[in-house]
Amino acid sequence: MLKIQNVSKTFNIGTINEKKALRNINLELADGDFVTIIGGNGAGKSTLMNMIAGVYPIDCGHIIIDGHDVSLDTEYRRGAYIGRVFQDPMMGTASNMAIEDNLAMAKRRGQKRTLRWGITKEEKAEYKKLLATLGLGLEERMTSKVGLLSGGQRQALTLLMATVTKPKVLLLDEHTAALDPATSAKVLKITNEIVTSQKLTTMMVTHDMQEAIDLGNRLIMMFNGQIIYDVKGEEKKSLKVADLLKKFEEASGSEFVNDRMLLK
Amino acid sequence: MTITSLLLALQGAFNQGILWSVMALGVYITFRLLDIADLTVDGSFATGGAVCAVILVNGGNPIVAILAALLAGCVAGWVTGFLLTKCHIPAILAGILSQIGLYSINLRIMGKSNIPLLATKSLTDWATNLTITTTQASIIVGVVIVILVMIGLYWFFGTELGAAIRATGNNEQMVRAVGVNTDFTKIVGTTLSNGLVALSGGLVAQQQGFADVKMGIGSIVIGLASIVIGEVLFADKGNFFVHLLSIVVGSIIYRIVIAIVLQMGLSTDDLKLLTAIVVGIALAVPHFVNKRKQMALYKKLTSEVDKNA
Repeated sequence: MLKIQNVSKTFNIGTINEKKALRNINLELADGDFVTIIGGNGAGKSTLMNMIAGVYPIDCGHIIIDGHDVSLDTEYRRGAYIGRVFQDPMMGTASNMAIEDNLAMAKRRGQKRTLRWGITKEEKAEYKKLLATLGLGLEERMTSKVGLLSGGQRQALTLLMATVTKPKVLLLDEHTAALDPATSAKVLKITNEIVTSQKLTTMMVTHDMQEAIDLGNRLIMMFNGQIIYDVKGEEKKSLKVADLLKKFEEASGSEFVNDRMLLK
Repeated sequence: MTITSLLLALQGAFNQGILWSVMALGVYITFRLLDIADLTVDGSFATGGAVCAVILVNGGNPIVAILAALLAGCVAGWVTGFLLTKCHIPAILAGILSQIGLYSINLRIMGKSNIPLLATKSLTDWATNLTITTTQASIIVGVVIVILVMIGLYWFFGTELGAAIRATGNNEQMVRAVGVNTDFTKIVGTTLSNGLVALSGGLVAQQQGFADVKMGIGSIVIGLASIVIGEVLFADKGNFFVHLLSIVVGSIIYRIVIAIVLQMGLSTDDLKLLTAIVVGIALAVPHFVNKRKQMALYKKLTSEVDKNA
């Protein structure tokens, strides 16, 4: 479903601030793979997500989604295939617009915007049902502006918007990091339900090792712009946080002490 | 000042407010919906007047003249949108470039800096044999056009494309993430906006009986004044149509205020300063009111907790 071939990215090439963010990344996700990604700060997790989404151009290599080579496509063109939830709850929704209008826009992912009316009656009924599945009471507030919602509610809504069209790839970039523990757990539960029920090909960046082990069928650890550990199936299920820490220590050596805190 | 002269002045102000409100509706698209301060307006307003005047002095039909003005404004807006998106020039600068370029273009269109429209056909010709005055006829024409524009905008911004434009001003990142080209939505926004501004320029030129290359100076500020006055009066309530209506009302009230201060003896030379002050105050007042409220609340609550401590 998602193929990443020899992708590299260096920021500020040729300056004193040169930073090799991704070094020759190769990764292939099967249809329905749910991959969790961990790694210290600056490991390249977010850069990888942004490269797939097309926020910045890649320096070299190929990104292939569902057979389409999107390496040179703009961010909005890739939006046709990719659903995204960001770390910042403000990023995924239009705050001045109603909940239903936000959903209606997401429902037209990848379609040409025409002069047809922006939302139909049937859609409203559909969204009401969909919002009810969140269990947050949002189905009663369909015409409220999104700006009135809490961070957790906005992330849950963004999750619905990202998945309402069943995207080819779902990218979750630390989407619970800005939430309190209880809300974070709730959004994570909703995430897991949606991803597993729709069998979405998903990449989720997280700083929580236990979360990375508990969710999904595959786990990737990144360090210094490279994938240093890739585990799936039974082997992943039997992982312990201590194993991951050990792996991380092996890879990073002396930097471990600094990054341990950040990895939790 | 007699009551009759005041009433006459008010009628004229109402007429001007209606005709200029089309411009304010155009400014609303960029300023509030796209969240861009588009300074093209000062140029495209005069472009509308220029195109309209040239067609009229050549014996053209007044309806064709204002439609041509609208199209010319659209082209100007498209250029600004192109500079803004494809060339990545910051919005303020893109608008200034268009505005300054349009000054020369407007002079080229007119061939001189002022074209009087005394013996030409006009949108109010149908009323010559009726018992109403030209101003009253102009008000009727203006009201019909403003209502058409409002209905058109209400419909357009309810469509899929319109919703995407509204969302672009709100959160560009999100709009791209759901697969919409934000360059395109911005270009459509600036094009439509300046089309309306130029339409308004054409209407105003017909009403005042001349087009002048300087007629657009300060119109962006007048547009902002109309929007802000409307928002203060309607306190941001109501649906999108009410919002559009608030701008039209804001535009009319602005003109009435101007008419009253002129009747009271203010020099027309001081008008622009007055406008700048009014808009400055209107934009600043909500901020100061909030700050005061918060301070008052803090003092009240703190004195209570201090007492209980």
